[in-house]
Amino acid sequence: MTSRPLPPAPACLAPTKTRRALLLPSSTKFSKEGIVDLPLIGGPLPGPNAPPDHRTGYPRALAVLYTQLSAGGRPWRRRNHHRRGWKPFLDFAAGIAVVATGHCHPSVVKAIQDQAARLIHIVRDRFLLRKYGGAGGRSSPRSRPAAARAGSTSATPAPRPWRRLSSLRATIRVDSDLSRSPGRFMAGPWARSSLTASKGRTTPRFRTARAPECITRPMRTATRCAYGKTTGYLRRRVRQGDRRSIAEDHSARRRSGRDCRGTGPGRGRLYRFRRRSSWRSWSASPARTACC
Amino acid sequence: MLLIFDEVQSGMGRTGKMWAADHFGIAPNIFSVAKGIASGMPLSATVARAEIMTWPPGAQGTTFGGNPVSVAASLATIELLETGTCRQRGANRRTYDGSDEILAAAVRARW
Repeated sequence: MTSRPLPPAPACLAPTKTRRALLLPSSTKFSKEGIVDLPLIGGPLPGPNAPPDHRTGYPRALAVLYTQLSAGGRPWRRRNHHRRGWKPFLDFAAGIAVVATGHCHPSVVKAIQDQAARLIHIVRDRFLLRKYGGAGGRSSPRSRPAAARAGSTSATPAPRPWRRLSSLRATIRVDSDLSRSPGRFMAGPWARSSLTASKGRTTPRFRTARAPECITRPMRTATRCAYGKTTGYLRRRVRQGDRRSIAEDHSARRRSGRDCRGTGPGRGRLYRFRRRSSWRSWSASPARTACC
Repeated sequence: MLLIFDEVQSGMGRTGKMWAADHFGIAPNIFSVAKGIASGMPLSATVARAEIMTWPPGAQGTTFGGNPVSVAASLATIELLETGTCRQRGANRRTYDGSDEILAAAVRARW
């Protein structure tokens, strides 16, 4: 397509600064909802033939309309726009801005809305991830459904919300054996979906000192801190070959009355499994000092 | 030796295929994704096999990385791109200068 000069914008309205910046026709209507009748563009078309922006050297591809494309994803057309020299413009902007699916694609909008209503932010560094990519399986091997245990390629959809997360794993094929490898660390379901998971792999030192069933623990209950140190309790447990899960151990301790109430021989060992009420003594325990 | 591709601008269906490397039949060991991964929501990723990702724990930290809303947007985007409608559209259109050169398409998204 050759770029030919377009007729000047109709001068019915004095163009505002915004219209100039966006290369919008001056007849563009604005409302409280934003630009209402937008997707027509006058001026040089974006692309390699467009005059370069004097600041960035990029083609002037940013004459875009960011609203009103959600209704069906099609630009609104003004009558006789071709005769006036304006062109309908569906923006798949590329360069600095990226909208490879178009603006406000309905399914993308819905995904954002749903997720925003459920959970907006996590502190991902509170989680440890052994491997990258979404796991899709559930946290505990015992509670995980058989479909998730069988691996990521299972056609049976896992219950929500794990099923949604699994599509990412299917797309970016990083690792499929995450839900099968025993004794690994995984984060919670939301952190597991993170594409920028920073805790890629546990160190060998960590691996030896880790309880086999200790998965899906936030940092407070994990067996290590960010500096690779482990607690003496778990080191001892692994050395003694104790293969019980931490949850079982926790409940057994609580049943037997040695549930870390702050006194007795168990103090300082099971600090990580205390309830919130004993948080204060947890932070002052010797193991805490040794860890961080 | 590791081959690293930067697919920040060229990935996620912007060249008509999911990755620009697909046009050349090359598979990198590591590649980076950003921009188009979440249809404008901030998100980025480094994709590699697990045996390459041998960073020690705590080597990288981020406050807003992997934001759930962005991840949800990226999942929807990936689904859209995988179903092929958007990518097919990208492959069928021509670049603005009328050329079909693949490199031009890799630098700028096709329309």
